[in-house]
Amino acid sequence: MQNSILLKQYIKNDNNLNSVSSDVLDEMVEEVLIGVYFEVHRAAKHTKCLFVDESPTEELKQQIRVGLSMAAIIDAKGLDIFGEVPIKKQMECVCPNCHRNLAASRFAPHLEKCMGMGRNSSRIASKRIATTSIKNNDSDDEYDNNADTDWSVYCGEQKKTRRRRLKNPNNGTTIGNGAGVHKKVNNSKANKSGLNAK
Amino acid sequence: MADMDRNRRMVAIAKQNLIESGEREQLIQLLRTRLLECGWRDQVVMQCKDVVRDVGVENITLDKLIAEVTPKARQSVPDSVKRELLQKIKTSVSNQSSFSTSPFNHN
Repeated sequence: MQNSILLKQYIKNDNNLNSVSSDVLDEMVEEVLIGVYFEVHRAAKHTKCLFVDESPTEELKQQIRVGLSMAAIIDAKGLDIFGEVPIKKQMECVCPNCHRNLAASRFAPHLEKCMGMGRNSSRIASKRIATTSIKNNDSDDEYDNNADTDWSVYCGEQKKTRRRRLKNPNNGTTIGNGAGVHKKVNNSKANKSGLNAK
Repeated sequence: MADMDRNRRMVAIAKQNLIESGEREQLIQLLRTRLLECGWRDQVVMQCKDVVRDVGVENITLDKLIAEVTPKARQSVPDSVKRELLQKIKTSVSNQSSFSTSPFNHN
């Protein structure tokens, strides 16, 4: 309150009022300028829309305007700064081994089986070898049949559900070791992956 | 000098009041609109483009843009825009009264 009274006194003088107002305006112009600089700088670093040497025709100006607006930071409700709706997108990748398209979240486990590395794969491989000629229950039957098939069969679309059910709760050692923490439940529905015989 | 000090303090009070009342935001929006309409912004962008070309994209920094472009850009603000905004600012400043209990106290 006190301050405003002082100010009111001060600006009774017209010169003072002009001086104060000019200062305010200057600061505002500077702020607008900085805004332009930010946009230009961002566009320059992220796009090629400023790479023009010719003198500014109207068409060129329009192109640059478009370019700046494309690099602009989006500030709207419900969108992220790139203008996209923020949902978790499923990224896809191609397995370098079998060249299938896979969801990224399934990629690592798939690679383990596909390349014959990781905790379970050698255990599975040994198991497959062990049960190759034995006919037991259903699951082993199908497992059996698969053991005779090619590498390429796994890379077909079969046995996807079986594969999905296999989680890896292993926390023990793997190679040739059936002792201790070997979790039977999951491994009986063994992964039908065609393992690299190494 | 006491005069300059006083002036500075008064300017600070005026600015603070404009911010608190929300008028500054409105005024700056108006300023942006006017500067866009009259082509001033395009001009500034062109000047920036020249600086970017001279300095190279890898070397361009905000500081360089500020240093190279600001002087001319400031001068090239059209008089009509200046007049309109100055008038509005004067009106707002003249009508100011602050009822806030902000600790914004210059002693």
